[in-house]
Amino acid sequence: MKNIVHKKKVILALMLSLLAFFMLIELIQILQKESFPPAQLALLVEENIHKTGVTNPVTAVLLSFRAYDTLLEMGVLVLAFFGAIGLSGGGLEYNQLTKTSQHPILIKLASTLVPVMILTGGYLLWAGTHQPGGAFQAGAVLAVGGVLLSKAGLTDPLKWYPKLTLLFCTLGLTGFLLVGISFHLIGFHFLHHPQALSYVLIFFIETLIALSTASVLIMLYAIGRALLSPLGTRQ
Amino acid sequence: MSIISIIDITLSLSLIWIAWRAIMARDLFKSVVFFITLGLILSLSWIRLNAIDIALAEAAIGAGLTGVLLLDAVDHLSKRPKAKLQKVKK
Repeated sequence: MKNIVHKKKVILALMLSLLAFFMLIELIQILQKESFPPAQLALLVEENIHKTGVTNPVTAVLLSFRAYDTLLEMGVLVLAFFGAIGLSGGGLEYNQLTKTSQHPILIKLASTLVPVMILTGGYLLWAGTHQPGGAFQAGAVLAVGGVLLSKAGLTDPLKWYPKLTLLFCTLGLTGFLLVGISFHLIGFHFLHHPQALSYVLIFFIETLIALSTASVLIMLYAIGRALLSPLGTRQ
Repeated sequence: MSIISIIDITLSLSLIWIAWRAIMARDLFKSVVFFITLGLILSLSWIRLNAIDIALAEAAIGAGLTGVLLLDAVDHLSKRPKAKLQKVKK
């Protein structure tokens, strides 16, 4: 009986992968045609990019043309953070007894790689204004550095729970909203700002978003690990 | 056929093959290792598609962070029967 179920699964998987393969071929053929509408969108971005103060089209779309989407994305990250706290049942606390792996190789690896990761994160953040990079990538690299530190047992992100982590995890959303609302009060549209200040403001918001993304990802990891280990949560 | 298109075809085929191995592996740990490999090959494919931003995010989040989370989950799942035994003893 089990064998039959397994065979059915294999056949289903085969059919699905065949379907995906043909869809991929179809997609490639569509992309090769010249009259594909997003090409016009790219032209629109190119025509208006000088108004945003940045030269990387991805950053221009994310933080200027489609700032509202990015704002809501930050909301999703904050919601994920609160969701994880909710799953923990409110019993999260820093426990000095949870010394996980004090493995010498991990410690050496973390102490060598984390400074480089912080540097890379900072560079990606700065590079995002004129070449590929940006806030989310920088945040992801910083987050991996933080996870490596806590994996090596060098620090526990829960040490800063709840005050500092709450501040950092909501920093992107609140900062973005504050900038948007304060210029709205002066007389601009919501999330609009004067062109002269564009570069500074986009860089400021990107920094906040990077910090926020990194702390949310690190906290998701830390909360998950605390939930799995019997020492991490108050029973 | 140029070298570039050979690389592209190899990338696409290995993506499908690694995804298949990740789903069909009996051992959960092996599955996760294949998933991480999938993330790395996928980020190479994003570079080939000139989407370097997505490649960076895929390498850091898809291969790095998700890999760590999945490895922790596998670790937890393999320890679960022992925890149950301890509870019975109490």
